[in-house]
Amino acid sequence: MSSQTAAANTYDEVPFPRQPLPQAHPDRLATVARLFGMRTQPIDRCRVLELGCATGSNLVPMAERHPQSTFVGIDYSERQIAEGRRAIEALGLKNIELRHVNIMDVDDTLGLFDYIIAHGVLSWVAPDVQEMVLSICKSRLNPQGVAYLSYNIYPGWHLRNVIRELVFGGGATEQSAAHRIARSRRILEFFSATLNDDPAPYSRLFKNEIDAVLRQPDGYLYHEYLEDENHPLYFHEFVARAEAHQLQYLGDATPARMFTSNFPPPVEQNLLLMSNDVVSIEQHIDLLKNRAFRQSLFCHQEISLSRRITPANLVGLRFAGKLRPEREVPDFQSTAFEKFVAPSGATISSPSPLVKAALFHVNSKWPGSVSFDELIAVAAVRLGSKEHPGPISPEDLTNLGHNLVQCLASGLIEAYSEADGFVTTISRCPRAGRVARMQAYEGPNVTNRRHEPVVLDEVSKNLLHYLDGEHDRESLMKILIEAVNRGELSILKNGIPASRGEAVADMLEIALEQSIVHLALQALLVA
Amino acid sequence: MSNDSTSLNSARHYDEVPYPGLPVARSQPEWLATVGKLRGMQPADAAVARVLELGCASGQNLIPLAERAPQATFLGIDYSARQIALAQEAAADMGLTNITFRQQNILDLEAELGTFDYIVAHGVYSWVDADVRDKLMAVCRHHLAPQGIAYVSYNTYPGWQVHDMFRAMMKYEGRNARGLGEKLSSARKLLEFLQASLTTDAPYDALVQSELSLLLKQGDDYLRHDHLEEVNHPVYFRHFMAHARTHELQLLGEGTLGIRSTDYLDPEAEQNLNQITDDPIEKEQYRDIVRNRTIRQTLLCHQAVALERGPTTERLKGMYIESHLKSDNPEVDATSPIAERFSTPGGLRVSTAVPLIKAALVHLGEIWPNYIPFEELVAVARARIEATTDPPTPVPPSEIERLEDNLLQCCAGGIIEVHSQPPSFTPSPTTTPTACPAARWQAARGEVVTTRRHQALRLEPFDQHLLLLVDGSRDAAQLLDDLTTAVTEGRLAVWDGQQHVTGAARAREILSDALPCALTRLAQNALLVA
Repeated sequence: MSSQTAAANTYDEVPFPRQPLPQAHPDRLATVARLFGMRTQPIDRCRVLELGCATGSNLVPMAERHPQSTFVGIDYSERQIAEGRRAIEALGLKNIELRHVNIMDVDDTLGLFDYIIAHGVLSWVAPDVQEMVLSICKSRLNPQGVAYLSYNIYPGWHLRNVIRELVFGGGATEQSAAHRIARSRRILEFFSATLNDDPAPYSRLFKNEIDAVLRQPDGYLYHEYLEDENHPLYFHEFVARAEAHQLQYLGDATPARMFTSNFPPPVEQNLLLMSNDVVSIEQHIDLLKNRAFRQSLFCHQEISLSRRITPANLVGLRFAGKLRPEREVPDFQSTAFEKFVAPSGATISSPSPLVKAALFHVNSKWPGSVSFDELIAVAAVRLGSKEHPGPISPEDLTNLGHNLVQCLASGLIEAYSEADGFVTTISRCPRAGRVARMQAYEGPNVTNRRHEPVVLDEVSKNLLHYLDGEHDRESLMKILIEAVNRGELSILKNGIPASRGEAVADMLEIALEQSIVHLALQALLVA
Repeated sequence: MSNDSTSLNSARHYDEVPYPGLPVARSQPEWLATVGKLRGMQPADAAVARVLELGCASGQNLIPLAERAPQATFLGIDYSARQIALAQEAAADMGLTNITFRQQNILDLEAELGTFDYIVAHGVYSWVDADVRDKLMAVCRHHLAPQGIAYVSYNTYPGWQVHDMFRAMMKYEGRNARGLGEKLSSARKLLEFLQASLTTDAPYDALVQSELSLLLKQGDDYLRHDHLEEVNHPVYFRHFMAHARTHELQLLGEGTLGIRSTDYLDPEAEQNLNQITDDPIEKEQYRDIVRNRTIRQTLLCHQAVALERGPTTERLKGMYIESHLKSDNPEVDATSPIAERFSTPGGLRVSTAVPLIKAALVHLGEIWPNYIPFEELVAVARARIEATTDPPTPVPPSEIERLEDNLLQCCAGGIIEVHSQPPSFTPSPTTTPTACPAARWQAARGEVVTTRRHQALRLEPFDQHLLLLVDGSRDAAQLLDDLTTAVTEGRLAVWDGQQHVTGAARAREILSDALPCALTRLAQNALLVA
């Protein structure tokens, strides 16, 4: 994140807390594009540009995972670019370049890209810079390229503007950032306390918003509420601005948010009565959800998108999902309904033996993903036997496709365009990626191979750095025991740090096994 | 309410759908003078004041004031030629010679406009462009007498954030609409969509639903004006005051006295607020945000005026007070030390066991709707108590002071209203009752009239008919005759239970029962001048 003029200094002074953005990963961009009929460049050999890349915390893990692809990041904060470059050098990555450049100075020499990412830039820069970002997305994007843009929106920001007005004050630019942040927190705490027992809807809503801001780190509070620039707009207004640059709205980075089928039937009907195209449907969804932030994907205007997702669009995609069957062993043979429950509480029920077997398989592979073909093959075996797989009719296949589309639309499962970059089986000498290992050396916040942020527990943090494929259990145990002896790691017994000796070793052995399983389930192991 | 935008387009909008103008009680000079006096100003007597209204529409606010105060002079300015023509026609028809209406753009107002004791701009500030807003402030600065008071109302945040959403979405829904009719119907469609779809108990759904329940009741005029108007510029109170300060104007008060307990947060919150800021304007801003305030009616005066802090009993002396209080116990005994509770029709309550205070509150309730000078009420209460012993025992000065303090608190609590002048209506009908001429003029044209409290009142058909007859030429017997004739001629409907009465004898019987009450009702509604 970065704005272009004096604001460069504010990002040097108060860095924005950065994390990897799974919604902005080229794999996500490619998957959404394919759902709507595009033929995107495979992400294992593509070119990616990030505008406002900060320290490269989003790009660096991608560059590690896709060594044949090229990654370019630009940012106006010199401090953050320098920090990112040091990390890249230490990792020895050759396919990524971070540049200290003003967005206004970007020109054709940058080349063309298959994926362009601008996260946390648009709403926080002056209008001329916003126009430049859109113009770069248009001019630097390959014909089947996809651009990701995130921005603040109304109606959610109507009330957040009140918070901004409260803490922004007169701008008070002569005061230090730390002083302004502390003052803002005092003011917000006053409102949180004053509105505490007020039952009025406004008071409840406003208190929720204030409490959410108070929970955020200082960097977020500063850049969202104390910067000079913050220009929320309505979704349809943003789309119109992108269209002026001959860009077309492709979809949401979280596609489940686009679908009216996630509303109760009467509300869905109301939505369809009010809207006649994808933009106006989503505008009305924003209105019902009081949405405040969007992560939107855009492509060239000339591309013809198919808005009706059919099973044919799923070809070549992979699926992953945590879909616990409600009964531990579902009945796969009969046509009795079986229900599957996602962590969000969303459910899907099906009487189809094939669908039940397929969803069961998806769940058993989590966090790994499976292809459509694998789903069918595994399901056929379950419905028959290894030697005589059950018969699957074309109707069954279509039905499965429709069910998968429904699961995607309701967010029960996720789709990917590429094979997993991690393993869930545990080897004798487990290996983690270099980026995660380096991150673990610096602190508990690491990026997993699904490009998600993960916070490590103490044991895993001490362990991950040494998972280089060269250490077996025995040597890992030694490392942990040394860490305990140096006082860097404490093992708790009944909440009290255990003392040295045999008991510690026993406990560490259990902790080690648990940690490795945990790291595998967190998609942090590559071998 | 009106609009002085420079764009021709905007003037045409007002010509298309006249905004339903209403009198604004909190903008009347008598009230502005009251607030000024309580803060130590010497504002002009409302009876002889010079009053300017910017954005006067068709004179609904100004005409009743002009009729009430023939020695005062009034100037109304509006950008809509149609509205001004309606205003001029009404004033001429009533024979008013102390009021002038001019079709003019606020931006074109010049120095020769003159000086005014009171300047009113209701519903203008938020509906015009920045240059007009600035000119409005400049007019207040340059055309307000040294002890003059300006009333400026405007839409404020945070309350308008939700309205901003409605406006933005209505504009979006009407993106393909041709003409006003289609725009209005697409706006209504949006409101109905939200009403039918936001059905969870989440705070957002509840907030939008509560706004919707108000909006859906409104007519097209309101939707058209408040939500489809091109220019709408709500402000935070702190920004409004910063603007006023650049024109060397300062805050005098608000629509309410600024002394009411309801003007403040609860004591703990007020204490916490003191730790965040000691700037009174900032405190008001924070209170607005806690309360989700939508509208402000701010009173301004020149920066040079030395204002005193909140009112004191000293400054209540010379003022008139009024309260529609009733004791919960109809047999209230002022002399006994038993606690009694008094309530207003609005549900405000006060309890006391102090005989002197009970005597004062009983007296206020008895004389209502009349006002009484503050000191006179104290004297009356004292006399009532002293008369209970023989020989009279003088009430000690400490008791008098306590009464005065309690009355001040009742003013703060909104239980007692303060006025700078005696009532401009008669509290009880005379033998030849006479209605306020402006109200009679209005009653001849519709059911909504302006009372002498400067409030709009919707009359029942019977009261409307009666009001037209009480012109001072008829006594009760003649009124009864004329009403009976109206019934027999079918101009007035009277009912006997479910039965429509047509016969003269039965009509007269019913009417003679109803007439005294109806005349009292007109008096209590501040519609009679004799």
